[in-house]
Amino acid sequence: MSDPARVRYLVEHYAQLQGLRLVPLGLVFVAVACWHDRQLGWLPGSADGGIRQWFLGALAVAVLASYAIGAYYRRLFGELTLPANHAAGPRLLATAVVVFVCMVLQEAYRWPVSLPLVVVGIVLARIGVVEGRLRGHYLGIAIACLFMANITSFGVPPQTAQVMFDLLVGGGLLVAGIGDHLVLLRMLRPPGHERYVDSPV
Amino acid sequence: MSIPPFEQLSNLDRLVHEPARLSILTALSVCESAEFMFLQSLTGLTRGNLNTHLTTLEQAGLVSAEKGFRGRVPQTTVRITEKGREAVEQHWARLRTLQKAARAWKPGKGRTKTEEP
Repeated sequence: MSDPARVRYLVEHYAQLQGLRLVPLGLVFVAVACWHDRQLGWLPGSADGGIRQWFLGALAVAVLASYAIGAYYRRLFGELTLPANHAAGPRLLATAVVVFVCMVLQEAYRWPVSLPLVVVGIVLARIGVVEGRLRGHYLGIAIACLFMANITSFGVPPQTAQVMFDLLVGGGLLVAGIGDHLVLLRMLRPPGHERYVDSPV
Repeated sequence: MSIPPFEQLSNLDRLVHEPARLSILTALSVCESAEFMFLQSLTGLTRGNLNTHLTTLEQAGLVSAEKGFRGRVPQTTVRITEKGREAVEQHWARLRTLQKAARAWKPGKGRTKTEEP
């Protein structure tokens, strides 16, 4: 890979591009959507309020699976360490604060368009357009967020809107995770799968 | 008479300009350190070839390599030196300048003295 901007982007976002780590969490939210759609009544104990335990248990499994998948990426591609003053952490924190503030404002003013979803959609759209749309799959998720932000104007019943929101979160995590994994596979080659003959030294 | 950009390309620092070494230095300039395996995944080189490139860069003082273990598995961690960071940043700046000059270049301009009639 000779494009310096892409090399730098890959190195800076190596952790985020390990997308399979998001898949277990995505599956949990898809299951939540099924629960809200009354598809999981067969789960033992769910009728007696045990669904909370199922959810917490599934979350715990998803977190553990995410760690295991991280170890898989380290074994497959190796590891790198970013500088302590790397900007990704503060940027993520700033985004979370902005979304939280939007949620508070939305709760207070009950706007017909969901401000938090609009902000999340804009952030995801930005990820989708950088580096020549390297992570273009985020644009689809962004569009889905902006659609969901306006869901009340389509007369969708609250129960259906809840299921759609859960599917947005779960499906978004799955699309982002699998998409990022495929991007990583295009940019890196595990040792043992050399893409070209030895270069002259 | 200024040297045409295309002739300047042949004067680039070959130590840094070699594609695999340029990828290695560019990646290391962004991170604190990287494992040998990551650099091998990035460049697609064989183990032996990557080793040779890293040895060349280390002897030139552009990178430093530390050998250690993660558990029982040996691993090599590579870092760029300040000299290496300056070298790769200057190299990319020079390439950008040459790119602009090449786009602005017109035939008949900027001939070297040996080409003058």
